[in-house]
Amino acid sequence: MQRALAALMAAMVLLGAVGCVAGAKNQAARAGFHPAYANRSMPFTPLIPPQGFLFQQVQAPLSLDFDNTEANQPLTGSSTTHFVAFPFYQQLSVSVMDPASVELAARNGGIKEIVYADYETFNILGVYSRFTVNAYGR
Amino acid sequence: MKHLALLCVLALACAGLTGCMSAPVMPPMGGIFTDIQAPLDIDYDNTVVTGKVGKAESMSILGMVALGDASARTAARNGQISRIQHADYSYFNVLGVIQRYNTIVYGE
Repeated sequence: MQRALAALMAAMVLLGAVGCVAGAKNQAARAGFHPAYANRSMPFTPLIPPQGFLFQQVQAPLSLDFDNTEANQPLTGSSTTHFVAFPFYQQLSVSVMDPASVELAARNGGIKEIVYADYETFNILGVYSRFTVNAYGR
Repeated sequence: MKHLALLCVLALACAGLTGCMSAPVMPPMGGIFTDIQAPLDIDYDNTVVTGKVGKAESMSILGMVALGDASARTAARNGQISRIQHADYSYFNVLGVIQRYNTIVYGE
């Protein structure tokens, strides 16, 4: 029983490591923030906080140039994309609904001038994930 | 002894599953313990240095569950900052069991 458990854990370590290496390898190939272009259920962004394999609901900054940024903006717009994947078989993943772009977020919020943006990720078991861009502006 | 080996494997498994944190600037990180602070914003042209600080935190436990709002907006709100000048982040990790990430914004 213990051997089986140890083997399972070792396999998990290997899968985790492979996931990291694959993520780094594909990093340069990913041009945008849309999860459909990423080779895993987690979106690739300039800043990625620690993630949760089973469950994740995290918000983090998307724009990283804060010089003279007014934090309290009157308008907020968001756009969301949904992502369904088969664990360890990312080739079979499906991205559905609208693209999560800053452009669309601004349009949804009636924003004429974007000042900065955050993003939110939601993930359950790597099978279903949601990626939301929140744009703030005036 | 067997239990210790099993615990080690479990810890490694957790470390493997933690998901790789990524940031524009990443100082060397420890596999066992990390407690660092680094720049998040890397454009410092004419940046005014001010006294106010705001933080927003997210957390990951065992690399399995991650929760928190570490957005720039929340950090600014927490520090009652209306104009952000620049930002750092801090990262704390013990064996991948507990990982804590903070967005730290500075402004006025």
